[in-house]
Amino acid sequence: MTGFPFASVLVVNRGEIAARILRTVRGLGLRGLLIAHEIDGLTPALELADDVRLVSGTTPVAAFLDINQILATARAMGAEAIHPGYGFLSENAAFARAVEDADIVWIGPAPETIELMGDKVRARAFVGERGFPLAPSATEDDAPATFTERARALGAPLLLKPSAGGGGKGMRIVRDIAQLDDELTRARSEALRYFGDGRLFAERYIESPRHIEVQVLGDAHGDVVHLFERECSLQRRFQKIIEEAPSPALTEPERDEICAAAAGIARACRYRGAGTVEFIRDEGGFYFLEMNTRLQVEHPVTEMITGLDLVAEQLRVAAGHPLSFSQGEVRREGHAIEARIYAEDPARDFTPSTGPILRLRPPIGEGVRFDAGVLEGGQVSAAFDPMLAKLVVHGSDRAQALARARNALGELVVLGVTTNVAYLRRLLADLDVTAGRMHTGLIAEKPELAADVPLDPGALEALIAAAALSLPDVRGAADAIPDLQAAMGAWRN
Amino acid sequence: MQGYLTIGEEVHPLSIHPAPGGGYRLPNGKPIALRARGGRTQVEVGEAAHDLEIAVSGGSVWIHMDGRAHQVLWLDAVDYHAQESRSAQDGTVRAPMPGAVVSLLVQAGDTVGTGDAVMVIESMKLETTIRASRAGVVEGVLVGAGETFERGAVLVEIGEGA
Repeated sequence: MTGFPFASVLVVNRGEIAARILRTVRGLGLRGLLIAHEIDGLTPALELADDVRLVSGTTPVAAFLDINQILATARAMGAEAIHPGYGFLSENAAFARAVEDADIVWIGPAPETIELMGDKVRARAFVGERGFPLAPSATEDDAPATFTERARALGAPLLLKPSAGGGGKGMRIVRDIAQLDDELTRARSEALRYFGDGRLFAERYIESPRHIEVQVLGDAHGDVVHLFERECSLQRRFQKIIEEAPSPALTEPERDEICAAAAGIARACRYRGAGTVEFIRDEGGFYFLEMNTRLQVEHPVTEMITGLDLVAEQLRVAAGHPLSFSQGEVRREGHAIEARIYAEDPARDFTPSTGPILRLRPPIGEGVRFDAGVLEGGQVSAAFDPMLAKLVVHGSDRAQALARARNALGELVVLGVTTNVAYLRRLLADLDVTAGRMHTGLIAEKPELAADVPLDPGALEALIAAAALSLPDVRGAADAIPDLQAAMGAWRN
Repeated sequence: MQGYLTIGEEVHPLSIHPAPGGGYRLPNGKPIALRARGGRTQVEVGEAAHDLEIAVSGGSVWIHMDGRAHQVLWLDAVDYHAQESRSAQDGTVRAPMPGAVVSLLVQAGDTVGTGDAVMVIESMKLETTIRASRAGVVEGVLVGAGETFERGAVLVEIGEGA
């Protein structure tokens, strides 16, 4: 008896999140099913799954977006529920609807909710009409003919976003209003390509804001709780790099206010499952940014401070169970920090790197969690997002969590592909970061952190010696000399 | 000298020699050794010792030491000098990062000037314009629209033209 109306869950995803979901699915006594693309080779998710089927497509990413193929595979595997993870089809209402139409349980919010929040323009209107705070903006849909004019009237700096977008894709900052026309053309082209929808909206770009988001959880009976906030202000090109909970910026009354607003928004759209309401915050207050209708990459920091398993909660909600706790019963303890480990080279403008995982040794220790998407012996290709793993640490307070994160990053060994690990360690030792003085532009203001730290002469010698002694060619060439010396010696005698 | 090691952006000439009594030494005379100690590897240079992890893949030695990973590239003297002379006057346009082709702006036979846009690629959700490394005539475009490639892949070849 598992208490679930489904006996198996198909994970329509890959990488660390597929493994993380499968761990909970199997821990609850359910069968864990997986789709995979052959380019990924052996992965942690593959090792955890009870059954796996390969999917294919014109590109590896296309395989994970192919609704018909995925549904046919789900039926062939006898999947009774589908968990979409994050990215890919997780916020695709058509997919959610197709899953439900196939009589498979969709682990996520109702398709109508995905549609509402997926359309950034409708979402803003919905939230604004209910009295929640919004930043000044102009929407193309309202009157396409005057959109450019209205955007110009907001003044620089402006942020252009695809109406159908999310996750930072296709967003552009306009600092010089004279370039607005060019930037609109670019943004429209990117929006069309990513989302098949070129509609845009422009928003006052708030300089140096904090990114604060609130985890919410709703059941199928209209009950909603929040699980406190996460601060994700350390970003590069709108991609989060470090996330933490709680936010060091909020006072208790501010925390209550932002969390209540998020729960209010989720309640208003009868939100079902795990979701995240994102806000930006500056001295003037906080503004609704968007709602993500899925599990977030950074959900583990919330798990670390609340002791909850968000995937297990998603499965219970999808099974129709009411929430097993009330708002007052949600506990928060200590401080958690997540660092995203990427296959990229910070010293070369963070270009993605590829290669074999020759060695992978996760850090261990109290309060350390490592959610990996790759295995030693595996391969990192350019086919997918370059995130390899997430390091999550918990401490009794922020200072301890930061120290544990830095130690764990120093212990983590990834060889064979260039990563951002040393960069993350420098970032977590930065004085503004340790003091909690963060904003979404902070990383861009500190390009010097991305440069490789010069080696001291002793370390350089050690590296040269270790490399030389590990290379058979070098040893061979050196060994050729004693023979010669020996021969010369013999001759001289 | 046996060759060169590249660490980060820096190139270091490399030579090690047999030490009297066995083992090896650096040109400055310091004896060097690699030892396995309780499941860990240690490198000794003179009196100093460092814990590390090493993985070798072809001419690449990956070393994790003092909380940092390093890629050390080995090139023997002959290969190193061959590469040095090739890089000058190069009409080969290579991918600065792995990605996918968004659109091709030139085709074989087109005349281009230095810095002319030849294609738009996408990597990490961002578009980047790839430009001609020299003036000349496009001899070949080696990737198609939508195709993915690794860093360093040859995208376009530009010749001197007639």
